Amino acid sequence: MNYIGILTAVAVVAAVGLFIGIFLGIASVAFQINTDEREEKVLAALPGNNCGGCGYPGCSGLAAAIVKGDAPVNACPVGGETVAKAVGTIMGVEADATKRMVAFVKCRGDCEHTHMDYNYTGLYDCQMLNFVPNQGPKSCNYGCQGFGSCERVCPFDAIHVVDGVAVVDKEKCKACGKCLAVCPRALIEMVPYNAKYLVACSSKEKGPATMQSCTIGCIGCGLCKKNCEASAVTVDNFLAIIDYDKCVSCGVCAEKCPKKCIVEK
Amino acid sequence: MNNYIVQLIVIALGSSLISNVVLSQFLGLCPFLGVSKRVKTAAGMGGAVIFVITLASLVAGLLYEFVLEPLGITFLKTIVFILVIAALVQFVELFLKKYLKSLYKALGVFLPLITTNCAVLGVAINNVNLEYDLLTGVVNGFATSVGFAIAIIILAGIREKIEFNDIPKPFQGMPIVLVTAGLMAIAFCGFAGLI
Amino acid sequence: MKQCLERLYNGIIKENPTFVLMLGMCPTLAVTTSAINGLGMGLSTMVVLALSNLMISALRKIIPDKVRIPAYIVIIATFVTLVELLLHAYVPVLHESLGIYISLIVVNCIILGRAESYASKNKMMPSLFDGIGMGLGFTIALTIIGLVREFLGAGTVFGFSGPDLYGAPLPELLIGLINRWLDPNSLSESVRFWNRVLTDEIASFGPMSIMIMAPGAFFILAILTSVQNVVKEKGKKNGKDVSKIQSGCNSDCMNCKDSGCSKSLTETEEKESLQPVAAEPEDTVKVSGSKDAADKEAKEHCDNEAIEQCDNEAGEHCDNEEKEVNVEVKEPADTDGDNEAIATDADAEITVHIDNAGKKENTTKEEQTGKKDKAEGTDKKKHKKTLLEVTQEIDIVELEELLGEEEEGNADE
Repeated sequence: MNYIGILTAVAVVAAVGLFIGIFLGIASVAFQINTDEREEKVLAALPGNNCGGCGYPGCSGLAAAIVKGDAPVNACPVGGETVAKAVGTIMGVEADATKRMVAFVKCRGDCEHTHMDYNYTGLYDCQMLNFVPNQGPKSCNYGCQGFGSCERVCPFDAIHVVDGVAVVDKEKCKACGKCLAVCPRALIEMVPYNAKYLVACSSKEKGPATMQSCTIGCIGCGLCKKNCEASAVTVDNFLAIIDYDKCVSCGVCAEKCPKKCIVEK
Repeated sequence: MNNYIVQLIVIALGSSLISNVVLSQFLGLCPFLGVSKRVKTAAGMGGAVIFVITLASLVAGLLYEFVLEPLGITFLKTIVFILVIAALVQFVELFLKKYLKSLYKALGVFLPLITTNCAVLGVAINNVNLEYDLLTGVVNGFATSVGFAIAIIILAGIREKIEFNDIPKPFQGMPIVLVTAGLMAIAFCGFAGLI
Repeated sequence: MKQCLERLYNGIIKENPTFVLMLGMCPTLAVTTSAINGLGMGLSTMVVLALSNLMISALRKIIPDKVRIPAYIVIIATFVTLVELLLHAYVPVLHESLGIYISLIVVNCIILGRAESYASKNKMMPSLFDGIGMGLGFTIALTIIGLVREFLGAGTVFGFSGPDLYGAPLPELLIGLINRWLDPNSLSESVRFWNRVLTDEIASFGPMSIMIMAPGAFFILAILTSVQNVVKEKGKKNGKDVSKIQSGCNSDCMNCKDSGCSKSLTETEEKESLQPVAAEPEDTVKVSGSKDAADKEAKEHCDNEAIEQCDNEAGEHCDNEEKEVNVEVKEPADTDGDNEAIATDADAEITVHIDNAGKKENTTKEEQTGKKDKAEGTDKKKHKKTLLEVTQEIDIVELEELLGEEEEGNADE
């Protein structure tokens, strides 16, 4: 029995292990980055999914900016009020009330209400729509073509293409803004979570032309504007627009709309 | 001296192209298939691998030559090498985080993945089996990792191109990548006549 | 005892490391150049796996949490060294052919993964059997793949070729068999034809040596994975739980949450990853949504699936080619005031477009108030046309005409 051999082996492995342990221990102390401890706390309070909706590179970027003072404590759209309050407590600052916003697709032109001008087989990417004949196979050139780029980009699985048109799930949407950025028609806009009546059309064409392409498009008749008591509705370019700062959610516009393009959420 | 350098060059060519670590020796398949979706990430991974493998082959070579061999306990090489490699990667991560922040941001995510990468341990053990001296071992390690980087970047480029192609349903996802890798392996076989 | 048997079943069939979990691909591809190699490698891995599972399970309460990965690695490396030395001594042929891949069992994902996920949390006997089960599954998988590659690539089976067993190469044996059943001198022309076809095209195959080389391994694995995909799709359709298939290493290294393969040695603080990471559970519902989404993203919702989904949805839905449409021909002057607020021509085809959506509401309205239509006295001819036909029939000139008509007839503006 080669005792010395066995002992040597044990000793060497033990020595290597010990050396590594000490070495790493020293290294982790020596190479410690002096971060503001508040930054770690803020980072822990943020949701942590690095969506970039705040405009900073990931949650760590936002944490650094908040601690430095560049960003307000309620900068995270995903976390909303709770996170703003938590971050505010850490930073010792009062958080302003944040209004929760959600995305809304201003188009309801699905397969039922519109038709296809031609059969399209090719790349289903909304950013390619400028290369597709007539801006897309759907009859309405302003509307959602349903190619799904917004669905692919959403990190929260909140927007889906249903029956040829994109639909936002209000509960899942965290207002990060990625779908807004990727829609080439600018069909998606941020509306307050509590907004009850929304114009579901973006067609700037004249009435008859709109009716030709889609049965529930806004024809710009102006009935909603005439009947709105809060003067929240304006009609511009044959399209109704609701100003949510003024809107009191009375619902008269939706009632009066002949094409039923103002939806109630 | 000249002979030695020629030998080094031959070994370098051999490790990087002819018996490419991924396409011939099948070491390092997991990151090869996993991190090759975009050329940018593939380049980052390649860089990280070059860094780690070169360093690891240096340290492992040193340990073997000055500790294991004199004491006659070369059978411990597996254990010692893997411990050292894991520790090295950890150390590199800490070092980068503190002193080379931009490099850390580019490579940092991949470093823990490289720890259990077959390629690192494979290179270290190859150096021992083929009885290379220290410099040859380091050059071998460097060339191997360059070969890995080449392979992964090419695969990422091809993957980006075929991303939107009309691939049959059963082959979508991993199978088509494997077929691509197989075709690349056939192509790399053509290097066999280089030396 | 039952648990142990269940572990065996799990490892061999339900969660087979190669066919189901897709772990440990490096040795699989490298070593399966022949069935014997595959068998030998599989058995070595099984031994290492079983013993290391046993030891780790025995020491699970002692090893501190922070250094568990290095500890596991040391234990596994010890057993690997043991196995290597044993092979070198007693089965040197296998040691020669397997080469460095024996040492590389250390970094085999299966072993570290099982240690992390099973052995560190369960008792000794089940862990042992889990190791044996997984190892057996791995062995069987390797042997099968090795058999396929060997047969296709070298024409031998377990090292036995035709000449050894029957005194003639395999192709000749096959030709002899064909000749027995399909006589080449037969009077029937079809029999002769088929004999010739089988003999010349199929039986006289030579081995495809590419199968033994590196590319062949990739191709075989590609076929294997595609079969898995088909099984997965079928399983999903039938509602079975297919979450385990290809779940071992979901090849999304950027969001890798597999414990064994990617954790750092001493679990230092948060990894600054630039990818979505599961959020800490907070009080409100809002934040948990993101955690689920991030989890989902890490597990299944990767690029491939997203594109798949959207291709189907965008493609299938509005490909109205095959969609049949109820076309209603209406009399003009239907001034209901709702969706049909357009003065229509008597031209049936044009009416279709405008009333496409209105028609559906019409039909439901019909169902509800059948009397109303009768009272109006409108004739409704239900005539099914495909939308393609309908679109083709529309003339641009007619449309413009209609537009002109509408402008006059539209009272709302």
